Amino acid sequence: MGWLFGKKKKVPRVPFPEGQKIDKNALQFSSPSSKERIIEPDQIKEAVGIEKPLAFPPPEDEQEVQQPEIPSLPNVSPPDFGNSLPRGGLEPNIQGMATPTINDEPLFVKVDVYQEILSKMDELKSDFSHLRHTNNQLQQSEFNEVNSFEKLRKSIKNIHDKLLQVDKTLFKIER
Amino acid sequence: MDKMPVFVKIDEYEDVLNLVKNVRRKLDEAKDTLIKINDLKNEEDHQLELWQNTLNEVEKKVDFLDHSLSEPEQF
Repeated sequence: MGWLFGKKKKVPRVPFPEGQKIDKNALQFSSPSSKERIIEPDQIKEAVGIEKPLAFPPPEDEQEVQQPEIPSLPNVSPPDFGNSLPRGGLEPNIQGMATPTINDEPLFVKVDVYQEILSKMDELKSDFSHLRHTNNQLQQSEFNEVNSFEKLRKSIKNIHDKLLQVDKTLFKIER
Repeated sequence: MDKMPVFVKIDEYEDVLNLVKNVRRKLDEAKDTLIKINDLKNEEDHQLELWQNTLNEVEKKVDFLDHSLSEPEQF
C-alpha cells in the first residue's frame, strides 16, 4: 500500500498543458468537424474565378486568433478545448467572406443596349463628317471674307485719294 | 422556352468612362468657342452695318459734288 501511495503522489508532477499557449493550429486539430465549415479564401477564389486576393477586414482575423486565448485554461482536458472553439464565432467570418468588395469585376451589357450604343456611334460618325464638311465651307467663306475685306480697304483708300485730288484741284490758289 | 438575355462583355470599362468624360469636356469647350465666335460675328455684322451707312453718306456727298460741278446753273 505504501508503494502504491507513493506512486500516486508522483502523478501530479506531470506537467499539465496549463502553461502552454494555445495557437490557432492546435485549436483546429481539436475539432475535425470545424474544418468542414471553414471556407478558405483560396477555395472562394477557385469557385468564383478571381485571381486577385480578396480584402478581408483585419480586425476580424485578429479576433479569430485572440478568441482561443480567452477560454478558461484550468479546464485541462482536451474535450474542453473542443468546446471552447468558437463555432459561432467563425460564422461571421464566413458571412464576411461571402460579400467581398471586388472592384475589377467584368462588366456585361445587354445585347440590345450594345446594339443601341453601336447605332449611336454610327450617328456620331455621320454627325462628325457633316461637321467636317461645314468646317471646310466655313474656312472657305472666311478666306473669301478676308479677300473681300482687303478689296474693300483698297477701294476706300482709292476713293480717299481721288477725293483729296479733287479737293486740291478745286481749291488750288492761283497766283 | 423564354428568351434568355444575352450579355456582351465590356473590356476596359474605366478607360471608356474616362474617354466619355474627356469627350464631354471637349464638347463644353466647343460650345464656349462657338459662343465666342457668335459674339465676334455679331460685332462684325455691326461694324459692317456702320461701314454700309458711312459708304452711303459718302456716296450722297459725291453725288452732290458731281451735280454741283456738272450742272452749276441749277444751284
